[in-house]
Amino acid sequence: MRVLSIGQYIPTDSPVHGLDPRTKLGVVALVTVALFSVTRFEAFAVLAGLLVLAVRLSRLPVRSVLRGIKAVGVILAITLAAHSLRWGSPPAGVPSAGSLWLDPAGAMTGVFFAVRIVLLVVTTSMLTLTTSPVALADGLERLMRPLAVFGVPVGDVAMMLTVALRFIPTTAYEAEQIMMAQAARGARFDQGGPIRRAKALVPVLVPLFVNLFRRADVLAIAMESRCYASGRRRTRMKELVMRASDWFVLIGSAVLCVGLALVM
Amino acid sequence: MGLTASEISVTYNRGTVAQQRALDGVSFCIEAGEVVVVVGVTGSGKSTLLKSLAGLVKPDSGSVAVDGAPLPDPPARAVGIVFQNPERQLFGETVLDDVAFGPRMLGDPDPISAAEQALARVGLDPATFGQRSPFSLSGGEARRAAIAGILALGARYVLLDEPTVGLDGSGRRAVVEIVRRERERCGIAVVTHHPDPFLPVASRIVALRDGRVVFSGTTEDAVRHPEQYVSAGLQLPELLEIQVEALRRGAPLARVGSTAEDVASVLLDARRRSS
Ligand SMILES: Nc1ncnc2c1ncn2[C@@H]1O[C@H](COP(=O)(O)OP(=O)(O)OP(=O)(O)O)[C@@H](O)[C@H]1O
Ligand SMILES: [Mg+2]
Repeated sequence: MRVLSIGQYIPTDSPVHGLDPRTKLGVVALVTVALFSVTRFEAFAVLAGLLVLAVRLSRLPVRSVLRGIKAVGVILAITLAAHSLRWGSPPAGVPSAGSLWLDPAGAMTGVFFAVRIVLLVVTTSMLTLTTSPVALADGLERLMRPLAVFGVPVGDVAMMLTVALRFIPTTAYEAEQIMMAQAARGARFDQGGPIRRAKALVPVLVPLFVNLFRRADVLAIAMESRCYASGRRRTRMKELVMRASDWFVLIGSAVLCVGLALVM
Repeated sequence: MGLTASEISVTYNRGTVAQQRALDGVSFCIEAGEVVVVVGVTGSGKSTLLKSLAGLVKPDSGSVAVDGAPLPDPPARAVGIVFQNPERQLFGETVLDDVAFGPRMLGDPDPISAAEQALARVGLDPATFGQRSPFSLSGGEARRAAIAGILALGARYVLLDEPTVGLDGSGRRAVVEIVRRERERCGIAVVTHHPDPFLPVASRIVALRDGRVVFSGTTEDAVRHPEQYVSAGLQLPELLEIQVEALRRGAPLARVGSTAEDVASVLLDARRRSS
């Protein structure tokens, strides 16, 4: 009964996994900027080549990387259709069905945008597939730390993120247990239309939230009794360190992405 | 007849790094009217066994049958299961409403009276407790209300996963009392780390280790072959330990289903006769 699968991190021992989360966040940001600035297919080919290399190095099953594309399938279809299909009296020499006709130039634009979406999705999936949520939160915190100067409670936000992430598996497990327990009382979650299905979740959601609030209460007391106070500067048990490989990847990507953005 | 599992194996997360074999060719049976106590160290597969018997986990191999037929759909008509900490699954506006959920789901024509009867059977007065919010109950009361939610299904077999965990002495006695009384209506399996209070009502003990049955027999068998029971990595219940020691010194065995009092009188009688 796996209904809830959140977080798609797949731990393997690879050089991509070993990179500092900040490096990976930086590379994703750079690639995203490049993807949106370039105007030529050749640029996409270069970025796609790099992605293929990263996927190979990460030792992830290719299927898991491609799964993200399936999720945006509808968006891809709409993008392609919106750019390439025209309504009206078709000009000579283009494929048509009644008043619906295919605009070859539009189709090229559609393919261009679709490739951009695919590359974007694969890039971000690579980030979440190779970086544990907690490492991501750590990386974000370090990157946001300068904002503390402007009074942004970076530490507290990071703690919230970390705690929330930490409890995702616990909550998913608990939801599964409660669903099983209600199924044991004859509840069905797979029958009827959307309204009936939504209603069937009430016996799951009510106890789930009640238990969550209780747990939050206990956690808050436990944290305070160990002297957690918000706004205090805390040190980390494991400080993130940028290694030579991190700088190499980061600077390399920066040069390449900025170059692509400027030239192509 | 009875609720039987034949040679069932269950593997969680098959084909991933987290692959975990939880049951490995387990055969198990509960007859109507008997109580079977299931023991085993943590992670030995007890809960998985109950979930398989209730049709909530599908075994990779082997089969589960209830009175000679496959489990009905939904299985709740034939097999009721009370999960560990069942009070965490209460959701109704009132206790009565919550207990009536199961019968209502199964299409019972009168779910409210089924719920009232079930509440009475667990020792909660439907008139007073029925209208309270389940979230206002004490731990022990909530536990009993949750058990009532399963009894209300009217299943022929009831499986209880650690029904006494986290309860005080009177709460535990109340649960044992429920088991003793419900035995008349159905076959019961009790998974527990504290089998002692259930021994007088149990007809058999089954011990699991690493997903296999390493002991299955009466309390008398456990007293005669304590090494088998202990091989599950468990400590023999004190009441049985006393009898093992007494047997070693030539005292007679108390019959199956003996309470501490019964054992004491068997031993005192033996001593009187020998002096
Ligand atoms: N939903 C699940 N997903 C993956 N592994 C599981 C799951 N449920 C149980 N397991 C694993 O299967 C094995 C048996 O678990 P089970 O819950 O049946 O043990 P148990 O005897 O009930 O233990 P306890 O006394 O701690 O409740 C354990 O190794 C456990 O980690
Ligand atoms: Mg268990």
